[in-house]
Amino acid sequence: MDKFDCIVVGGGHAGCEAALAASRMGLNTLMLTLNLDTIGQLSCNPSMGGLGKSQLIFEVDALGGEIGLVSDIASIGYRVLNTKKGLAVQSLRAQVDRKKYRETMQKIILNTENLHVQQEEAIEIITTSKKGTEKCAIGVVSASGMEYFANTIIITTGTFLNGLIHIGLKNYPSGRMGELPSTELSNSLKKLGFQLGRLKTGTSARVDIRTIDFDKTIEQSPDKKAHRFSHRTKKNNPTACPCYITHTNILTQKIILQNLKSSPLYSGIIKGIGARYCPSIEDKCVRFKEKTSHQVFIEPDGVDTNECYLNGVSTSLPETVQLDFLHTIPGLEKVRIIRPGYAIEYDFVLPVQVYPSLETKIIKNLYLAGQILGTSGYEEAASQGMIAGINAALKVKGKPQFILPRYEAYIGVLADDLSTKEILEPYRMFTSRVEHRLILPEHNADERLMKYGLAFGLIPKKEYNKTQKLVESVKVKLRELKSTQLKPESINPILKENNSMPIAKSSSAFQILKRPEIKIEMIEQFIEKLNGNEKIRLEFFVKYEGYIKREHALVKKFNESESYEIPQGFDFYKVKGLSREACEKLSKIKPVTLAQAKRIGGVRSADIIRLFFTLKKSQ
Amino acid sequence: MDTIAAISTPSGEGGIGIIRISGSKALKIADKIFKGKIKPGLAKTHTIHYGKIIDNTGKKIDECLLMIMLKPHTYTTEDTIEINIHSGIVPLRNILETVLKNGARLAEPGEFTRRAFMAGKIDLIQAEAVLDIIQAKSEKALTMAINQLEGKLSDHIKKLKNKLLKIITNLETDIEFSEEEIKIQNISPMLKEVQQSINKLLISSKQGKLLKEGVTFTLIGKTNVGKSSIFNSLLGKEQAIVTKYPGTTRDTIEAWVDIKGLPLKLIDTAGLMTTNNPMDMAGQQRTQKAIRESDGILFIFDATKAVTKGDIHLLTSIKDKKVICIFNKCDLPHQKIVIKNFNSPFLSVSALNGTNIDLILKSISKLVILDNIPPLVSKIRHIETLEKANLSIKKAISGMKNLTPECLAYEIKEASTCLSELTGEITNEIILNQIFSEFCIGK
Repeated sequence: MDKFDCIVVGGGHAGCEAALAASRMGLNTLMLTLNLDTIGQLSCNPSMGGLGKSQLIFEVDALGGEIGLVSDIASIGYRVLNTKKGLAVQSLRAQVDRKKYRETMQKIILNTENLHVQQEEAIEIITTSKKGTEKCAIGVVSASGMEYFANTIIITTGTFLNGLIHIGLKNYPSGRMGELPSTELSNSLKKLGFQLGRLKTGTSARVDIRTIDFDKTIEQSPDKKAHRFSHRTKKNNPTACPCYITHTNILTQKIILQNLKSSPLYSGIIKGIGARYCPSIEDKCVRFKEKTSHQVFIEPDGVDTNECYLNGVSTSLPETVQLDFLHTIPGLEKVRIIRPGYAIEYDFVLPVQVYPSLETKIIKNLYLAGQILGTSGYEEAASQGMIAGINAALKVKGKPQFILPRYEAYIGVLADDLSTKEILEPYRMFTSRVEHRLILPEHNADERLMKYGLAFGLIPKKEYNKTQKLVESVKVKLRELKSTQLKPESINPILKENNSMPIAKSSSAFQILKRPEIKIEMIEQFIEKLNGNEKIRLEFFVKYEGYIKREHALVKKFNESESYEIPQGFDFYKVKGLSREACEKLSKIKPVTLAQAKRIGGVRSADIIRLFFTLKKSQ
Repeated sequence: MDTIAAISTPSGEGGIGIIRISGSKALKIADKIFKGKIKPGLAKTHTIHYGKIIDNTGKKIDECLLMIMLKPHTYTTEDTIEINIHSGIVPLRNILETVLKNGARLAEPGEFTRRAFMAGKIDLIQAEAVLDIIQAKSEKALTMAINQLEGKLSDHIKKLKNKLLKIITNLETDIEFSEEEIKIQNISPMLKEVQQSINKLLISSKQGKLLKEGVTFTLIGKTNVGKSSIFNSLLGKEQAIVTKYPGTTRDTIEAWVDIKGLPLKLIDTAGLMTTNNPMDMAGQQRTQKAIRESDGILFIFDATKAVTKGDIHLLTSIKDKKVICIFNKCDLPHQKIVIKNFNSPFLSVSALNGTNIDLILKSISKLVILDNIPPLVSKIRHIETLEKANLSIKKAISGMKNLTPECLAYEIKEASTCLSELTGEITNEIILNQIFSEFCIGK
């Protein structure tokens, strides 16, 4: 029997990153997938990145992942969102060609050294336990009865665990439209002692682009400027396809409200919990009755297809009702549905059962990543896949696990949140989850994280050096900005032109650039030529100087409480005066540091102080 | 946990002295040192017993009332014994010593309250309020402490935090869902409202600090103008030694007076004079120090003598303090005295026959008390935290036009974190929950 270093179950966004990271770190890796042809499939809308999510892509890329590069290759247009909201929350988004994305990812997966792919359904996790030691995962059993053994197992089954698709009042087991679910694995996880929950997500109808009257819609063109997610992308001038915007109206609302009885959501058939940030159109009409108009984004699916995605009207109403309400929307009066929208319910493992390394707390060497942990989103899945893949490899090599702190990366926040928070709805990343977001903009992910990628052998030395060189040159230019004195007569005309106070005495270019209304382009003529990469970093350093300093002071303070460890097996019920809710939550989640305990919902600051005194006393 | 004991009545005040013992050994200790009709170990909980306290040799120290309170219904939730005696500090100390010899440990300051807090009986602000009640110097300070204990401050802070949460919700919605057509509220008026509320609390805090810590007034003036006489009249008892010889008071003398709930510390000083005598010089230095450290000055003149240039010079040098000019000896023939360009209240008094002495206390309380603001905040920690929050709000208000939403959010979150140090926390989850319940989100 073959013995592998690592088995990855699933070939979605988490599975791909996990398998690539593990195999590239030298692990003999096996990917088991239900269907070879859907590896790297985008199940929902054909776009990558966006608010809170682009940061994840840049970070995965800096660690040596693939999602950024493949997105760039498949991109059919970029837009930078939030340009007016500040440099740190600014986010890149790309429309991508669904087919090209999938094919590009498959090509990479099938051509990676140490990585073997097999079309097989994993139905059971094999574990072993010597007396007195923890249970340990050692392999999987497939539906065909084969047994595969490995030192580490990573499960990334997405929405396939016990998946159940709903369209109207009809439902049937499925993992994704037209694909089989994975039912037995769910039972295997339960048998091992995992607590499972049930979530719901939905998607909207795909329609024929030839049946849309675009004159009645608003065109949203991609940025003219070239953008990229990956540091490996050199030249990037994608075929630009615009998106279009239209709106629902009172008629749409009327039809939807009239047909609620045939909605599985409102007739009580769907038990799983959906995400509040991604509600179905039924939800929007019911919960916000006074709002009669909702945006609909028409997103092209790719360059050589007539299929397109209707973002904003995800639904599980019967197909005929879907058609009826779509026909009330300007531009969609004659639209033809290619694939209907649907809701899917699926099992997930309550994520507090994993460590921030994504290894499970009860079964050693077993890692979970992606939607199986209750998250939603391609980017969230890829980030977890990256972490699980790296940690599985480190485990096999006998090295300590890789855990990114919350102040160093969005990925760190994601892993920490999952391992400490109770998930009541699909978890997606928001910039507001990241308390140190001001120092974690997407543009400096390489400065922050490439050193780790290098250490793991996932980032070549050459690429790392390039980034270092860039960082150094920005430092030099920063000094230059400080030493370049601008005379009133040369700078005042520019200041006046941009509604900025003129100066009386000479001032450094640094001080001028500190003004919020002054952009680096306006004073570029006075300093040495900059490239785009240097510009944004330089402007960030100058404009955010005060915040960067404050953040670093906070991080230092944070580090102190973070380093206050709670011993393993600590009995929270022995802490006098702890509220019952705090006791229950702490005992369940088992935080390893005081700071982690602090972040658990329902644990109050008075509880933390009581815990702190007790810990101090027991030392 | 150790069994702890302490004298829980302030030294030198009140006729009753209480020693409190808390912990698992409290009953055993009582059994050893108390002789009465019943053994404390056999008594019912929450009962009082008459008897005597004996030391380890069996000698009686004092008579007492012994209160027995068994866990869990006690302040600390532990077994608690309280020994009440009706005599002075010496027997009180002897009894405490005996208690300590029999297995208790001397409690650290505030340790009973900390145990109550640790046992979950009270929250942080309440715990601090208890310490204030114990240390309260006057009636008003006590009311304030009780207000805090009842959670009025917590209520105020909670309201403020709800306002901040609303502001943050609007800002974050603007950042996270900028692609969607959501109308967010103008946060500028909301921010100003918060600033006003914080300012109100801060103004009241000055009052609160005053009530808690009291106010200090120093009596100064030339030698033999009657400072010590006025000092004694104010105290109503002879505390300073008064003679007709100049320079009798060489040292500074302090005493506390309660003016309708305001604790007032009076400092009597050596008369101002030029001297070469080292002892007098030391006295003069102490006077200078007292002036520096006090909130206000009672500047005493001799009404029968003319005001000199030196007096005017001194008055000018203390003009940033609250000053009351008092002309003593108005029972003797004197001329009407005017000092130009000074806004300080003027009083003509006579320490000898008591004329207008009561006006001095009234003037002091008028100078320092702000009537209409209910004091809620007194702890330095609370004031500092509120000031920090205020600073962030100020930055946000002044940056409304210039700062990007992410930076505005940063400032406001910092303010909210500050307030959270006073009560509970606003977590990222709470913000997101708020966004989802207020706005229709989702493409």
